[in-house]
Amino acid sequence: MTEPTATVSAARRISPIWFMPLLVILIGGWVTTHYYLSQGPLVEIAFATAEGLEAGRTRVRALSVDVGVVKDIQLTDDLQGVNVSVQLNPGTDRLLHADTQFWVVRPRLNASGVSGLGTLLSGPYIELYPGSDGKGERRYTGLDDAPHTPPGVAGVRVELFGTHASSVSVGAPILHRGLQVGQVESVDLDMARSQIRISAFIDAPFDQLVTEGTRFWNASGISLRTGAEGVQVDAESLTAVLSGGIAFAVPSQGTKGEPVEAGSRFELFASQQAAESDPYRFAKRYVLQFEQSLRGLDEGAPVEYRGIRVGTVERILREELAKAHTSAIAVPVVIRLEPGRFGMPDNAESVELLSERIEDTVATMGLRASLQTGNLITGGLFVAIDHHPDQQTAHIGEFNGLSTLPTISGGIERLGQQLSTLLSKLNALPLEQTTEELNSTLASARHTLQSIEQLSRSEAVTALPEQLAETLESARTLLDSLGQDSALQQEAERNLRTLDSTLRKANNLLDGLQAQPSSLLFPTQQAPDPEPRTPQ
Amino acid sequence: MSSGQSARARGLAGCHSCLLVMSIDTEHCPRCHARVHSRTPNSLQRTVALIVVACILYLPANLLPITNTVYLGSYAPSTIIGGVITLWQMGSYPIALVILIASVLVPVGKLVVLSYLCWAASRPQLANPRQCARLYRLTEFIGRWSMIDVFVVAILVALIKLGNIISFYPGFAALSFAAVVIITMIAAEQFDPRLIWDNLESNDHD
Ligand SMILES: [Zn+2]
Repeated sequence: MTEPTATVSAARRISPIWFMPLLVILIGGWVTTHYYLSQGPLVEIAFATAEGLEAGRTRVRALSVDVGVVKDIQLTDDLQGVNVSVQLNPGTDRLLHADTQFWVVRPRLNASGVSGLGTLLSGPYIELYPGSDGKGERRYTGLDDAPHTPPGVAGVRVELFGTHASSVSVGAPILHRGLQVGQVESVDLDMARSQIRISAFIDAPFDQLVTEGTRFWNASGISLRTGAEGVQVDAESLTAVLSGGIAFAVPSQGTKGEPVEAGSRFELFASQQAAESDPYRFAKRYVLQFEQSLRGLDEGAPVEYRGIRVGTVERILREELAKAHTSAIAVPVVIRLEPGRFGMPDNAESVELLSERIEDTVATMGLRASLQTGNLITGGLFVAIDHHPDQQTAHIGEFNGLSTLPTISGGIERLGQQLSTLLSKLNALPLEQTTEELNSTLASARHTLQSIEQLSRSEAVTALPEQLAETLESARTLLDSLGQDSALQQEAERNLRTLDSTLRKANNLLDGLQAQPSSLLFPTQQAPDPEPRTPQ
Repeated sequence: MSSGQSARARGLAGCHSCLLVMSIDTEHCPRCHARVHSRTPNSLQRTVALIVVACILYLPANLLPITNTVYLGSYAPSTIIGGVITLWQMGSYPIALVILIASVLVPVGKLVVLSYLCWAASRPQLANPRQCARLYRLTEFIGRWSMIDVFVVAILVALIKLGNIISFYPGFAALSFAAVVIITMIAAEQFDPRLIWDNLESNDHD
């Protein structure tokens, strides 16, 4: 039997086929290395929610150009958010800077327009805004929502503080003379100040219009005014009616000032009228301590210096009432004096200057604050500041970190004092005794009158005329018997006539007495004769 | 049952090209002048090398996406296993099973069986030749079904092209999967089944 020696030796030889796995490994290794070397940067972005994001599907775009894809989505360790790993395309390193921003683009519909419609079909994507500053990082914090103003847009961002968010919503327009120059970016509640905080962005070049003297007010909705000229409807724009809006301008009384820096804070007034009525930003606050009734003093009441408005009553510190433990409780009232109203520029230096001047004047010229009645009907009070050289010298004090201005009792209190003196004098008069005497006089008068009336109604008096008539009748018969032509008869006739007229008068008198018995005591009232007069 | 005597035992060899039978000592076939070997030269080495190649290529075939689907503008790559899992979750159990069997079990099984045959051929004392022959016939039978995945991808890519609404693109895995199938077929071809029975002969000798 032949030994298959040749076959055995051939099997031991290394076959050239082994070149193939080697080649595959080499190619595979090269492809893998190349793949990993050509991979773009891997970036981790923290988002509040992964709503709509899907690993392996959600794209990352910069200016609508695909630059990467979401690789992985993980909950953060504290379960408060998500970490989204994003694989960017090769060569996108130069897109990453320290101020690079990421946000998720979703369809958005509001009164000011529609955006992100394309994502309805394709699903949300992550927008990458490259930025320009600093070196790229591997970890970023994503924005919860697309910024209303794309980053990099020139303009100024200011914060507005108001007491009411009334219908101002995100995306609402910022208007200047009816033209949209910016928009509201966010509306939230500042818990510490208990105010509504609105972030507003004003686009360039209109940002130059936002100056120190600018006032912002809520321009939402429609205002209706009726007056002598009819009904007047005011509305800033249709968008402002729908989504609310904020308008700004420099008040007619105010000064323009310098353009503000980004992040400046402004008060948001409820209406244009409110903004116009309070056109000054800078003010010096003083505390006035009044030891009298503040009835009629409202917050917002004017502060006047010799009849010229120089400030406003800001607040009545009611909470100080609870703390007071002395017998004389003075209610502190905070007022603000606005340098702008004195014709000074509306800035911080003027405030300094004003407070220095007031300090001087208080010491040397007796400057005092007092409460005055502004409106006698409603009893509205205002604060008047004036010189009272007769007062003792006083100085600016300090209360709760604010300067105090010395006060004197005002007109209303003096008037009150005078009134009370007058009343006490009136009280002292012997009025009661006088009244009693008068009463008894009247009673006796009435008694007299009653007796007279009784007398006039007695039978003796009423029967008197009848007896007289009988007597006359008998006299006539006598005279008739005497004859008509005799001298006696004539004489008698004459006498009788005289008697007759006398009796008539007596009859009249008795009738008058019966109608008005008092005419015995008092003379009859007779209206004076009308006198012709020239009209005055 | 007698196993009979192999050609080599009788000092004969067959030409690989024209199947002419001649003496084992002949170097070239007198009819077609091809080289004459009693057994395919380096059969085991070639088979093992090709199995290694197939195993290497099997990694990208499963790890990389076999199709990239663009559906309504969004881009979704999917791997073979990912596709099977998706189909299973969608409730399409039969299709998931078919793809699992054709794309995963068949190629893996074929590679395992071939490896076992190579090992058995090199360890004559341990293997059962009849069982090995049955396994060899099985690999030949199932091998033809393993291209099903590649065909599915090819058909999808060719038929469904609606731009951004829905489109399929073949991934790199489709290419490496096709290569795995082809190389496994070549490996099976390179395995000389006569080696299985050579063991039996040497066993008989012992
Ligand atoms: Zn031949």
